[in-house]
Amino acid sequence: MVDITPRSLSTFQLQLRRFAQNRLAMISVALLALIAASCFFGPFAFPFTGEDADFDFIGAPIDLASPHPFGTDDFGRDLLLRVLEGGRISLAIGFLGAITAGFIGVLYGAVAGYAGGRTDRLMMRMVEILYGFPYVILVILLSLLFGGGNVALFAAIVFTLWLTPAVIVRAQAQSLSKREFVEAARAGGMTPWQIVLEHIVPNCASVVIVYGSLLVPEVILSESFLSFLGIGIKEPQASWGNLIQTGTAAMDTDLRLLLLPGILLALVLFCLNFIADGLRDAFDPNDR
Amino acid sequence: MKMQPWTILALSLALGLAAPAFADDTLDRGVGSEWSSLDPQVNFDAAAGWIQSDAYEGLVTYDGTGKVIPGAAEKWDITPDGLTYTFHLRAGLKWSNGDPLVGQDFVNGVYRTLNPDTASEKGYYFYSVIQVKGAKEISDGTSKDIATLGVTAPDPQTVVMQLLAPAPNMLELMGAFQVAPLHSPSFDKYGAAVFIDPAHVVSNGAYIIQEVVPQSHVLLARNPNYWDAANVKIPFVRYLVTEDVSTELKRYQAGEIDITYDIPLNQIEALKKSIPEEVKISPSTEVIYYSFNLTHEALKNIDLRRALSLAIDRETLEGKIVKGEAIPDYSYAGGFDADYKGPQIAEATMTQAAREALAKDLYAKAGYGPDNPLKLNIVSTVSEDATRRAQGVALMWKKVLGVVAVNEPMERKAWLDAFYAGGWDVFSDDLVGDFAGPETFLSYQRPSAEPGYNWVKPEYDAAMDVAAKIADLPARYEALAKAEKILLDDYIFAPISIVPNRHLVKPTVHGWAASAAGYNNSQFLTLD
Repeated sequence: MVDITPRSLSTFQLQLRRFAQNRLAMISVALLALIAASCFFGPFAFPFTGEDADFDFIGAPIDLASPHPFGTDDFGRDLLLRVLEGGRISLAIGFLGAITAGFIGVLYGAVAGYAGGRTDRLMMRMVEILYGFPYVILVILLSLLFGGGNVALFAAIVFTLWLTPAVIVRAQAQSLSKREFVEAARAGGMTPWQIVLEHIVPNCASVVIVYGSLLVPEVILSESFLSFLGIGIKEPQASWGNLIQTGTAAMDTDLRLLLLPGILLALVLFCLNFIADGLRDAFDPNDR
Repeated sequence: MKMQPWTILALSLALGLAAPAFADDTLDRGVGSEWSSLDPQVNFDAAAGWIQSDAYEGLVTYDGTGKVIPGAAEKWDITPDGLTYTFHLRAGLKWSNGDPLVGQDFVNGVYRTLNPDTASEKGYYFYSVIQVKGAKEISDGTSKDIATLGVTAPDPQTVVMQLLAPAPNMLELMGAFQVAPLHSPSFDKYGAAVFIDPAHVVSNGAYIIQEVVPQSHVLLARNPNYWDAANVKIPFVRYLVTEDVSTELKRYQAGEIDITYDIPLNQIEALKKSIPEEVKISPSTEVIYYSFNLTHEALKNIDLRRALSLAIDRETLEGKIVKGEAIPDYSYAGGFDADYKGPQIAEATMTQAAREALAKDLYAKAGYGPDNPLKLNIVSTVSEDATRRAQGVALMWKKVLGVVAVNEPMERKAWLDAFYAGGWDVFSDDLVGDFAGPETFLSYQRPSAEPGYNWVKPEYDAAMDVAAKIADLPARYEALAKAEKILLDDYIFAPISIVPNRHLVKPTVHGWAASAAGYNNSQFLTLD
């Protein structure tokens, strides 16, 4: 008989292999990497920035031979460049926001779940209170507090989005804390903090990665949504949200202004969702 | 059975319903942003002025073409020296609750506008645009006695206004929404809140306020006690808040609105082709100018202000970026009355390239450069043309001078509050003149009228005082032009453009006319 497992694989390697077999997810990874790379490095290829207006070309149409291949917006700013620069902001806020929110949520949930008892109840009630707070009002309050701008927006997004990972991880941590290896660790003299960081958190990793990958599009959407409402990224700085907003205003006359940022945003969101889907399948094959 | 509007009203009140007026009975008009105030002695806002013109009638009023016609006053006499106006009220005038309307009510209205306790911003109409005897003293609190005011009611049918200086445009001002009578019993009882309280508000215009829903609409119903009620054809008028012009257009196309507040800028061309009859664009008395905050250290420098003004390419801005058919403007009060030959900013005759070169020199002279750019915020309203204009100006400043300017769009009310609070470097300002003449604009800028610009210029006040004493219009205009020169030479603002009135009017609305003052009182309109 032929041995079909030539060498033993770790769980993580198995998971990676399963993920690599998901064709849709792999295409998404490649596409996302491409979009991210062009957003972050593409603008360097232009001799001007997205905040420089060219008043000789106002509302120029798509013309691949001109200095503005995808035309300009109503102010004479290069559309392609603005979309790329907007993507830079949106993606950066998306990934950083998801990582920060995930980090806070995981720690909070792990501590609450492991500690249990009164601490747990107190911490989770607080989460529920924050859950109950109207999101948009909270964002407006925070941006007043921080005086508007990107930092306020980032804080507001993180502030509201760490709650769900906290709840998920807390449930996981609660069941983990009753497992034998945790009791063994406790008996071995590890401090609660050590147990949380070395046993609870790593064992929640798969849930966190899956949820985190869903968090990224959520943050990007929040950013776009808030910028669309005018309380996010402010002109002249571009983000996909405010580009789409200006695009919608001109939708009836010049669809181009809406389509370019809109399609990119949709593509990124699709990619991230497919990746999240692939990751979930890879980490938890029973769930298929 | 055909129900009278009043039956409907009574029924709806009985049933506790709000405004179930049938669509055909109601004229729906857009007012843009929400009214900042419905208090007739406080409101300063032109759009809210339309509501006010329907609800309150001054001594005289405007017809749709901008002509002054008799209002509450049937006729008036002017003394040859132009200093005393005697208005004779119509017989049997009544308030909407049936109380008789007397001359003293108009006196009380003026007094309340001037009274510092009212905190009204438009007292300057009575001591600056026209100089009513005793108005200044009441406004600055040195006199509390209504008897010292030069507006008196010797008998219930007469209102006499005594001026300190002749004012050829006096009647045009009286026709605007500035001079409403005050129903003292209801005001004394309920305070200023009465003006937005449909249950208690008492008015004397063709319509009464029936419903006020913040951020939504004001519903007006025909006033049965109005002297000309028989000729008021439309039973209900609803003024709808239409903050977003694109949404407004969609509502217009869906038939929810009969007269729009504005037209989306990028739709004008298309609409002119598809519904040319309904697009009404005509010159207005609204001038757009960017005021510089003179309390800020950097902007105290006149070179810098001049550089900022010159760096704006007004033709490109209005023609290619805002695209709202506004006329680029290099003066402040000119361009409304053809008889007024006012000055322009000194560089108006230069080419834009020369202006920009000069702007760069002045900017460098003021001590700024690429390593040390000037940082500014531009506070504007959220309306489409205002934000586009502000963003366009910011981009021009960036391109020509390297200034880092950020546009902060605000809701109209917040924008007005922000002006007086002073948290702005550059204020996207606009002034809607009360009549199509230079004086309404120039008086507003008088430092003594405290318009909030912190501009100290006794010479300007003196020049305006000289003009104010001249009764002959051509000579008066010459003196006003001299004053405007002083104003423009200080570059306390950058004049940008004169914007037109832009409305879409349904073909079912008849009687709509174009005038610079922009009043189209609903009582003169009919609806199919």
